[in-house]
Amino acid sequence: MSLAMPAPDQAVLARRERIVAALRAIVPGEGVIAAEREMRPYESDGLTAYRQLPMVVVLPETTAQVSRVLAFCHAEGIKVVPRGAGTSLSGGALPLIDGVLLGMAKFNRIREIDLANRLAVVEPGVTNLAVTEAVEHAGFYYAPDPSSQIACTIGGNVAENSGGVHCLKYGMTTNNLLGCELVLMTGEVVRVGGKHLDAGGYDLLGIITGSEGLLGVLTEITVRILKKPDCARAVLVGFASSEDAGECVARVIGAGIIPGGMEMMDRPAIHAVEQFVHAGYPLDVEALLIIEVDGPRAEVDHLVARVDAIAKSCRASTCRVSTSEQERLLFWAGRKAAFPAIGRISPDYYCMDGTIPRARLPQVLKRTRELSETYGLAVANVFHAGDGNLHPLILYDANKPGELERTEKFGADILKLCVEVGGVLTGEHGVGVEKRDLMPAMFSEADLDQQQRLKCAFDDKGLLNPGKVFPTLHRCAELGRMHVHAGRVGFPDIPRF
Amino acid sequence: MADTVRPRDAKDVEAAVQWALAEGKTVEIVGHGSKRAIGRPAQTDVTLDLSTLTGVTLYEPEELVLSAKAGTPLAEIEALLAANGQQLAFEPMDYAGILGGVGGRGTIGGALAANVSGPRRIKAGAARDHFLGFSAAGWSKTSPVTTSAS
Repeated sequence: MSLAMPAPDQAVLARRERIVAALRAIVPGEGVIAAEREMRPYESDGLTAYRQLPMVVVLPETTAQVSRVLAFCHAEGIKVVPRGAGTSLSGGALPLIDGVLLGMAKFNRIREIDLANRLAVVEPGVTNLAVTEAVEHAGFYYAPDPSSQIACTIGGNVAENSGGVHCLKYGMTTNNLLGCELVLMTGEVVRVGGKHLDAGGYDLLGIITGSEGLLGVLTEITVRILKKPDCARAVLVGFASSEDAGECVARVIGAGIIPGGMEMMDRPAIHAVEQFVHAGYPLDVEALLIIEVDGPRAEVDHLVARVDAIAKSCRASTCRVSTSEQERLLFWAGRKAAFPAIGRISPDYYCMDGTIPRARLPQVLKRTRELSETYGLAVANVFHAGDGNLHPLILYDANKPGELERTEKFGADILKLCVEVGGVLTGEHGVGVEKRDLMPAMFSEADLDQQQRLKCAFDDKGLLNPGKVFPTLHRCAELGRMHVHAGRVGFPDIPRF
Repeated sequence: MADTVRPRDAKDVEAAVQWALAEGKTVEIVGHGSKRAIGRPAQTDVTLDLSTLTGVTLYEPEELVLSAKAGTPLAEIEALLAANGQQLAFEPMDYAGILGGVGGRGTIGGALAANVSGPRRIKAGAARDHFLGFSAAGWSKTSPVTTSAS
């Protein structure tokens, strides 16, 4: 719990009452929450180890209100933390003691469904699953499917560039986003992209996606929707070693097959899940793969047979192909219940998120087991094997003094290991506060400065979600300094500030 | 006619960019110039020609990942992939049919800079959808900038 957040602005805290009154004038009724008891639900997100009551919670209902709230905060120098459903696992929506917590939950309407153009226009507080539910009557769905999809919002998905089991084949949020309306910290409302592919000019959608609430507040989002595949079949494969399982993953991909999903679990995860769900998983294996192929029936049947053959040639000890929709769902039931299953066998668990080149999996699993012994903490692994996204779950007991701190150190070691083997710090949970101080393990100072310059272009006062993503915040003026060579500044005719 | 700078490696690119920034020179960046006929001609002090920065630096067919220097010809990359029964996940088009000139030209850097995605865009995605990382010479810093590549 040694997290350093930006120093509270005492001048802002001193005029809290006046600020609350001004916000009430913008968002009337129950849209401003200032009582401690009522702000309590907002004190943390999915990273529950960290809690902080905000100065005030504001729940706007219109873009105009968001714009006026941000313009007011910009003028007054007040920090703002945007929040969707609060399911972030990296503390992206952790409030600030001197900040406005801007909850977007009231933006919960689906504005337009345009099947002919295969898109939906939704407000950012709509849940991920609600987008699919709104179009499935016509045989469509929204592809990115993070595990928290019944609760997490599309706005949060864009902010974190969320993935899910199916992103191997269908892409992350960034590959399924067409446009958005965004309110900048100044209150200015901008639109990026629209009901079309690839707008001209800079790829601003790509910048906004995954920006973790540091660049602007989303008020409308246009997403692609896809036709549901005709059918899907899953293959459940057990291996005596994670090396064999890793080889199977590589050979399936190498054979040109891109499964709809390809998931791996290690022995501790398999056992926890099987006790919980009774999905019929083999218990005498070290690694279990679920490989799902989707598409037209003929293609699926053909590819399932090829996957089955590849698995057997990789020394699979068990290999079952789903023969009914019911059986396919049963295969998945275990994987989808992995987190609650771990929650059942341990008082607490800490879900990590890193990405590695697929081929390094056996090495990373081996090293993780060694670290597990060093730290005296058990670990279970679930893994989006197809795209190299690893989720080690560290089992601990928060009531034992020092155990959370030890867990966090263990987790940081795993993430550094991911970077060492050529991977990255995060797959889909974002940096937030969780991985903020690890950023230098991955990026050089020049890289981080460049990223902060981008931040400065959107939010020059650094008021939007400060304390997240960047280990140290530079003032924008420092980053913007120009190189002066031989006493000359480039482009001397352009006025500078 | 602008002076042309042909860097031999990334260090040269950095030096050229730093020089241009320090001297206040405008720069046009070209690969093969296969799309140069689109829009009006750039009027710059210097042309930075990256077509000599060539070569695939990493190719792992089973990981579906390839890295190359910015000036690597698309034709070279496509031939390498084809030899392994693979193709680019996007479909950069050849502009020669429209703009004239020799066909089969264009660099990977140019395709990404212009997000050239081709006729399969609607199903396969845009060039940017399959762009995983890069390193580049930015302004006002002395070291190159790298983004994540997963």
